[in-house]
Amino acid sequence: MDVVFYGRLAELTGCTTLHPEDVTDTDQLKQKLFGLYPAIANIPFAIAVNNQIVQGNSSILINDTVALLPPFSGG
Amino acid sequence: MNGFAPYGRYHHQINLSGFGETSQRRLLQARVLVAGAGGLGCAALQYLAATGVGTIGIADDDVVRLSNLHRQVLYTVRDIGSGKAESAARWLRQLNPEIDIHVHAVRLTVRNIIEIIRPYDIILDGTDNLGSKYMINDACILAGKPFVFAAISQFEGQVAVFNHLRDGIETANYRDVFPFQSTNENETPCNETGVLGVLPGIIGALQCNETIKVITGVGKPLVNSLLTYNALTNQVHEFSIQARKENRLPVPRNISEFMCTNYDQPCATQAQEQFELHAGEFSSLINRELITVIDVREPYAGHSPADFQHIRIPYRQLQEKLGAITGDTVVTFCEHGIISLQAARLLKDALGDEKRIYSLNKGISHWNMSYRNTKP
Repeated sequence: MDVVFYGRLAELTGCTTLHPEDVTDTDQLKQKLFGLYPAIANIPFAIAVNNQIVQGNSSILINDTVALLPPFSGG
Repeated sequence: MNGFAPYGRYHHQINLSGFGETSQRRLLQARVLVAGAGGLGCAALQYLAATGVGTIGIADDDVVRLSNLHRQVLYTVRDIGSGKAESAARWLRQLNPEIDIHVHAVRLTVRNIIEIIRPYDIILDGTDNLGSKYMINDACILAGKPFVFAAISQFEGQVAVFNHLRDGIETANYRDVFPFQSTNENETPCNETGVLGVLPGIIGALQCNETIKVITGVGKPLVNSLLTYNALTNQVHEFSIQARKENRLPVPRNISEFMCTNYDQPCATQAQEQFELHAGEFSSLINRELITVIDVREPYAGHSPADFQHIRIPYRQLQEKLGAITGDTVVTFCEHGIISLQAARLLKDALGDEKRIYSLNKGISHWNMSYRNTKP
């Protein structure tokens, strides 16, 4: 599974992609990421699984790509 | 060759296969408001004017500064200190004197935006803060107008066409991506984090392109879709968005409610003050009988407080788990008191006056700092 960080999330995690194992849904993924990178726990972000924005808890399969998108405020 | 008067100025696009005079006429009849004449606004405005959008409004109350010039390309050093909307209008009238340019040299607020957007068909977002983006999104929903959104940060941009009704069917709006406005503490404007000067040029031009597609019906605009662009890698991604009814819950239900909404400080919404329970009041209520305290955060978000009894029902599951709420008094809480306020509103709608419903003001983060360690 590929997890792709956008915007400030990439800045705060220090990476643009991650390949976590043993994660089967977006809640587990968040739990894992908040443990690895506590700084992102307070950042709002949308989650897209295979280019589809999802809400609530969504299952993730081994070959899926998960994008984490924070809102941008600049203009 | 052709009797259509604007043929000379626009003939390169009129000649485009699938575009033609019909599309050009639609552009000339269109009325577009650009909210914010900063980096995005400058880029979009020059192409909107050049392409022949017949009526263009510019809403901005800011003045030109030297540090704007690296990305706000409608201004010159002579404009420093002058109003942006006026300066932009002056330049655009020279570019295309055949169109109407209207200046709204005011800051868009909940008090004036509904009136200002009324004569326009499409609103293009060039604002530089999340409060304005949520406000314009909600205003466009209430006024039934499409909202060509964009936002930038450092080297990245986002573009979408929100609230574009198709055959009367609702399409996605900004809240279908980011349902709730966060507190401003995590928001860092361009002038603090920096932005590559050309980035708003690229993203603003994309916004203008989306606007042209919406007006003419040519091509496929970014409806139910969010495009992201990374200037460093040239990566472009398109994410599909689903319009969801529950994401409309935080949108004010009517214009009078909208006019009482505080988008500058999302915690302090007058219409929702009835729900606010301050930390001091909360401390006197906790652990009593007949009270249900609900943590409405998503699973795993934040530590569960150990100093008072509570249950966790994430906001999205509240509607289906109303049966778990047994107390006469209900207090919802989340991290900063924003989602819990929406939760309180949802419970009020679902339960009516059956129970007293509150939201912990400023959230559990404020409670932890101010009260947890001082109260026995």
